[in-house]
Amino acid sequence: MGRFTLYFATDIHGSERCFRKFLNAGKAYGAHAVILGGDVTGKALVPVVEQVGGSWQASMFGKTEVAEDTAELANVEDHIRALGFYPYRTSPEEHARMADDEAYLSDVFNGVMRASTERWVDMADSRLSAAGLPCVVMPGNDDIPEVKDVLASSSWLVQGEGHVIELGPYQVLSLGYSTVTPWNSPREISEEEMAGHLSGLAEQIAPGRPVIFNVHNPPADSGTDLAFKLTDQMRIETAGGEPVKAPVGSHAVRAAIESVQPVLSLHGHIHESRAMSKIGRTRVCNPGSLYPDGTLQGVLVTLDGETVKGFKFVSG
Amino acid sequence: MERTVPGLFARQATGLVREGNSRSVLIYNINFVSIGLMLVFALIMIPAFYPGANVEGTFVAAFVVVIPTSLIYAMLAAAMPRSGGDYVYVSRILGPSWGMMSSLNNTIWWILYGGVPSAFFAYYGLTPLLRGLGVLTNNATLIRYGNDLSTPTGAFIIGALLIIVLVTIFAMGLNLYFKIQNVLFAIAMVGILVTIGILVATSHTEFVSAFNHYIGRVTGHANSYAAVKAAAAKGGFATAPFSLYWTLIPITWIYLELVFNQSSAYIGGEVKRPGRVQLWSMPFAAIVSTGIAMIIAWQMERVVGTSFLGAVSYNGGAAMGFASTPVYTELVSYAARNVVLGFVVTFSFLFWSYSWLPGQILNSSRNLLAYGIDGVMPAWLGKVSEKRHTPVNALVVMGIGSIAALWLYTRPTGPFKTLTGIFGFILSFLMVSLAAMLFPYRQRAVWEASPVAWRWGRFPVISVLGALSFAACGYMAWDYLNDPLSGLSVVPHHTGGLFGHQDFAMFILNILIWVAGWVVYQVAKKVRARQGVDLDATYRELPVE
Repeated sequence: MGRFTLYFATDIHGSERCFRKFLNAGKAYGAHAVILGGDVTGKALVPVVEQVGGSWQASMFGKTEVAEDTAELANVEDHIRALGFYPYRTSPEEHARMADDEAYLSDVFNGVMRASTERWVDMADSRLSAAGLPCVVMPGNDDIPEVKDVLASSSWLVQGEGHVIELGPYQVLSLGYSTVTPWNSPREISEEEMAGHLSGLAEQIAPGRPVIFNVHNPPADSGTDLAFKLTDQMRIETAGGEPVKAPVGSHAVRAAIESVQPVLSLHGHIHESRAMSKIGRTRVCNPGSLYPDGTLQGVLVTLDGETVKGFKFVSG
Repeated sequence: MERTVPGLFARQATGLVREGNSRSVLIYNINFVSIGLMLVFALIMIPAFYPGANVEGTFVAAFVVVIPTSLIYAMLAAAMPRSGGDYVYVSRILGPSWGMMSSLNNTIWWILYGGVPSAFFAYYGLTPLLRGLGVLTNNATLIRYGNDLSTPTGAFIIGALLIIVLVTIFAMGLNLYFKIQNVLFAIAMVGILVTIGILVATSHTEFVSAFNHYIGRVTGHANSYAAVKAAAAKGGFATAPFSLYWTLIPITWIYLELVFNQSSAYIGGEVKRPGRVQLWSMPFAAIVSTGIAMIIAWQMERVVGTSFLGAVSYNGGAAMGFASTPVYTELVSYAARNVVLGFVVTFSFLFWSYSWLPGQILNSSRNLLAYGIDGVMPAWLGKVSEKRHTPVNALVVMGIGSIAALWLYTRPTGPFKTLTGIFGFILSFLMVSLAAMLFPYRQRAVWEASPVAWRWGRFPVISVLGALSFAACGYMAWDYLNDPLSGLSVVPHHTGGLFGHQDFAMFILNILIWVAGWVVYQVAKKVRARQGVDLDATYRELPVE
């Protein structure tokens, strides 16, 4: 079968910088294939409001950035995208409407996310096909349902959720939902539903070919699922100045790993839980995410048949 | 949609949290500084062994030297939150082998220094508690027990037990420990307040009278206060007029604690705000700690007498019939003239005596875990307990190393002195300072996206502060090499031993430990290359075009 090197990153949450790095990561690290775990879209929209006189103004965290011409405007928008946010050019009237009309704002935001994801898909189709680098993608729990269709429209990327697909000598089972979180994100399901999805996908596994899980939600009590505990006011709980962490992974995911025993199980969702562990003979991994810094955290895994020969966490 | 962040619209998405509690971070950083230990060393060492030193002047000078380093750590943590501390800062900005050099240096010294606060628990915690109560109640047995705990064997046994207990608690889980620590911190601060109250309410005459009353019962001398001063003078102790040089040199004893006010990591939300309160909690910890310590030091000099503080330390407690120098808590307990208050002062100090140790265990075990995960050291170091989610193997390594260091530290003629390894830490601080200077230039995009992308004119603020910190650390490196009590020397004296003098040997050891990380990285690189893993890929910059 020979050695097969896989690069996995996840949870880039709209960071243009991280996405561009992802497109170059496979070649930079010498990978045979790349997988982008879920949560590809951003969490915030930044209105860039046209001012009288033709300048533009955007405000974030109490700081106001002003662009006097198109070049400066492009810089401001690049800066916003680098943070994982979406710049949106608007008029003062529309800005006021967005502030008052929740439904209108939601339509605008969803439209911006769709358009941005379509642009990313076009970029990926062009770059990765030129490099001949297979790439599996999927939506995560924070992505609106339409994102799955946009990813599936790609001519090169393979939208993996809901399928077991071939990737080199391996089969990859992908699922991007998460179990219930305090944030009521767009794609959350119960543990029972998670178990149902996973068992349905497991039935698609063909015998005789090693399996890789690409499941957004990490398994329970695996070390890859330790999230900051939150107070009722949604603050990170601390004790003695140290953040308190607790396992929040899925028992259904753990049960599926224990049952199928894939050679490798890749997860994301909990950004602060960068870790590698084992469940039975399965190597379980979460590379974490530092997308707000523009840093692309990932993991390089070298596989040889049913064995993980080596792994390396990387930060680009 | 959330409107809690001004200017932008945030949708319902995982991870949108409010900023953490800055009070908790402040407590953590003050814990690590240990106001109590800062006072112990300032009052034991400076009046006795640095003739002409002004204690308050030394505190102010130490604060000035520490602040730039404190600020750059705060800014790096704000720019790269959650990323893992100075191991990552230096690796990302200067390169992975330099990051390993800086980090492993710190880790080794944290492990070695695990032996130091565990001894302090005996020397400055339990001994004063038992001895102080013994003096106040005229109980010779308690006094003897207190003295016994300060012997090399007593301190080793107590210190080793403390290390084992703490490592075990940490292996069971951090959360319980830190909840207990908040209570212990509160007790320790109550002790500080009671100490200040006792001192403010006591005149010098009243202290001398109380001292003579209580210690007279131990020594049989009616005027033990004068006897202590006479014994010290006979041994060579003398006061001197003000000296700027000798005021600046003993910064070493305060820097030892104060520079670690940057121990916490900045934990912020993902929708980053400028986070100014969290950003300033590290330097604010330095301000609070220094301020409180200066108030107590000033009052101690007024009540007890500066020359007496020097004499009693110079004499090593012998004129009082003690096996070791009495620390300030014991002297305050006599001034209290009340067993309950004396107990509060000495008991509450137990927490200050070992308060470095939990942070050392945490920092070193986290680093060892990171080395295992990153592949620069054996993978078993990165093992985490499935049940407790704690880095058990790293904790065991830390515990064994610290107990070995404790044995060395408690040997009276051993080479490992209290200040010996701080020079080593400074070598890492120099590297972090350099990383701060270069951060806006080598990681421009990360800096520009951070809440600390500030400029003074054309210069990034972090670069300017990095340069100041580099200069301050350079000064302190010189200071430690020139402090006669540091246990370090760049000059080999030809009076026997491998290098002729053990102080020179310890200087060489500092350098070797500093370089060790670079060597470990090169070896690991070769070993992992045979496994098909490229260690240099860890922080390789990925192009964005």
